[in-house]
Amino acid sequence: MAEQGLTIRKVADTSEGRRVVMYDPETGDRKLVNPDTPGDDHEPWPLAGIQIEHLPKHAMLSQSYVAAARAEGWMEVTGEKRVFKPAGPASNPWQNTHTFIHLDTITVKTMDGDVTFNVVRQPDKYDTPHVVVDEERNMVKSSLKGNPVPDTDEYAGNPETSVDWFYVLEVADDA
Amino acid sequence: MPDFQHNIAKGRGTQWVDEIRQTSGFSNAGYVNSGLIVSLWRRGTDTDDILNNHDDIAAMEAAAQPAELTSGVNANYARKTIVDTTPTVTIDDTNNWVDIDIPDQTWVALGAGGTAITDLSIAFDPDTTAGTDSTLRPWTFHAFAVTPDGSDVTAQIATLGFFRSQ
Repeated sequence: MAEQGLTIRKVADTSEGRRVVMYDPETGDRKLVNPDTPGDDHEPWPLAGIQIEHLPKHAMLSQSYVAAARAEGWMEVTGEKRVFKPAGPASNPWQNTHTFIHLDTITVKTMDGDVTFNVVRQPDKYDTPHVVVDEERNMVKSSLKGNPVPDTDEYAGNPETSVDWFYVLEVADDA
Repeated sequence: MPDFQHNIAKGRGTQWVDEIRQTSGFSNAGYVNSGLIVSLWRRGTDTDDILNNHDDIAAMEAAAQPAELTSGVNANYARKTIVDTTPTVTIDDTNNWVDIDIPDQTWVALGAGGTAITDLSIAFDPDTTAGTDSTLRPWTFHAFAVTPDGSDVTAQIATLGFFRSQ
């Protein structure tokens, strides 16, 4: 298993019913329509289950993706804790607030059984800036280093910090 | 989801993400240092149908409009680079589409200056170590209106991704 981004497949249950492809007359967006129900709104196939393709040893998931998957019911977490850090300028540190959700584990409920990841790095505001990838083109990326800053005012408007909105995951040994 | 895709990117985006993640079954050796580049722009008066004709970031920079932020005008501005382990691909057979997700992006202590930011661009860089703006392919363009004031500026990506292929 290599380190790579996750690929999740939502498997459709096509055992019953039918769908036809239509296009929204205003937006041109493609949609699936069930000819056996009233109207022509988009109607997806029922979800048969989740699969993980190419399960990596290490992966990343964004905080918002995890929230959406939990809302859809195919991801579970443990150790949830809300963490707040100042996001305002130095002159008004709490004008805006970063809200991070820290977790201990993330479990994907797949058709082949549960796959549990340990969270080894949390979304947070860190005490190291993003590292330069290409100085001439002014490109930076996450350092994946450093420690979360305390929720104190001196870390507002501080360019020696960085913010990452993703979990770094490692497959639990029993997965 | 974007306001538009650049014409040069149509039909290519999901493959680019496979190249970045080195999961492509085709030519990943050619794109081993590839990544997605997230940048902030002031579009001026150019419409979507003018902007989506640009084939590379150098062409966008050279045009009278739009204008990317610079660290000289907006302190602490930099392009964000998204590399191999970060993008998440969701193959959704229930809806017959594919979603590409990246984490929210934050520019810490983004300095005041210039006019308001209007848009966010995501581009494919085939070589983050030796590429140029001429090889940087613009992919998607998203409305993102914010006036920097020294706060951290966060671009919130849609819950299941910034791009949908269907």
